[in-house]
Amino acid sequence: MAKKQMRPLNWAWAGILLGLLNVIIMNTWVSNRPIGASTAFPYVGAILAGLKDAVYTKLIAKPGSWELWFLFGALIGAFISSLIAGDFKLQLVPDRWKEVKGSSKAKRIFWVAVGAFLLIFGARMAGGCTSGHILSGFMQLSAGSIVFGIVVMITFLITGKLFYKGGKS
Amino acid sequence: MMKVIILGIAFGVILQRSRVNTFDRIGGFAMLKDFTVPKIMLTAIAVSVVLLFVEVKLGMAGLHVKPLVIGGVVGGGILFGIGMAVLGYCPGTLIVSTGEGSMDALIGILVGVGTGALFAAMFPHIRDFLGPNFGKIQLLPDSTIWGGLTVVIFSILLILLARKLDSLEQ
Repeated sequence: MAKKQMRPLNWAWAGILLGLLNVIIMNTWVSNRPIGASTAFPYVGAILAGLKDAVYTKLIAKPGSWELWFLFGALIGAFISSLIAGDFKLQLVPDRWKEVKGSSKAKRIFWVAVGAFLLIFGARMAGGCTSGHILSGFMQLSAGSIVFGIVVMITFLITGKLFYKGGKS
Repeated sequence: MMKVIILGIAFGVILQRSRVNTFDRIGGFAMLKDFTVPKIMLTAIAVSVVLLFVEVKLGMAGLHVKPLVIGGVVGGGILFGIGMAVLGYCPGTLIVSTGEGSMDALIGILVGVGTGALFAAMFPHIRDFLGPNFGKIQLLPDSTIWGGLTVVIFSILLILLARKLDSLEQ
C-alpha cells in the first residue's frame, strides 16, 4: 500500500460539521426537515417492485424522494472525496472483518444480507435510523428517538460482543 | 433538487473524510475497539441540540419530532441494532461506503432496497403491531430559560462523554 492517503478529518471537527449541517437542513428556507436516510430504501424498492400505489409508498413519497436525492449527493460526495484523499478502494471483505471472521467472500456476503435485512426492516418499523432517529431525534430531545437510540445501542453492543468474540486476533 | 444533492454531497464528504462510514469504524465499535462512531455522533448532537434550540426560538426552523410508537421503536430498534452490528454499516453509511468502493456495502444497499419493497407490501398487515402510539413527545420544558438550560446541560454531558470515550481509546 504505497498509495498516499490523506489524514482523516478529526472526530471533533467531523461532529461539529455534521451537527451544523443538520441545523442548516432544518432551516425553514433550506429543507425544513432533518437529515434522514432509511426512507429512501422502501421508496426505491416499492417503485421497482411496482408498488407505486401501495398505502405505505404514498405515505413515504415526500420524505422518500428527498432522501433519495440526498443520498445520491452523498454517494457522489463520498466517491469524489475518497478519490482525492486516496481512500477509494474496491474491496468486498473489510480488513477488520478479516481479522475476526476470515477472508471468505461467501461468508461476508451471507452476513451482509442478514444484517441489511434486519437493518432496513428495523428502521422502517421504527420510522427512522441513525440519521433520522439518533442524530435528528436526539437533537430535538424526542422521546421516541431517545428510546430507539438506547435500544439500538444495547442490542448493537450485545450482538457485537457475541458475534465477534473469539476472533483470530 | 439541486439543493438537496448539494446538502447530500456535504454529508457524504464529512462522513467519508472522517472515516466514520467504514466497517472498520462501525464494526470496530461493535467490537469495542474503536469509538470514532459514538464520539462523532455525540459531538454532532451536542452542537445541534443547542443551535437548533436557538434557531427554533428565532422562528427560523420548525420541529419535526417523530411519534413514540412503542412497538415500532422498541421492536425496530432491536432488529436495527443486531443488523447494524453484523453488517457494520447503517443506512446512510451504506451509501457513503459504496461511494468509496466497498462492495459489501453495495450488496447491503441491494438487499436493503429489496427489504424496503417487502416492508411496503407487508405494511397493511403489520401496522397494527407497531403501536401503541403515544404521539410526538419532546422532552423539553416550554420556557426559554428552562429549555435553554436543559439543552446546554445535555450538550455538556454529551461532550464530556465523547471526551471520556476518546481518553479510553488512547
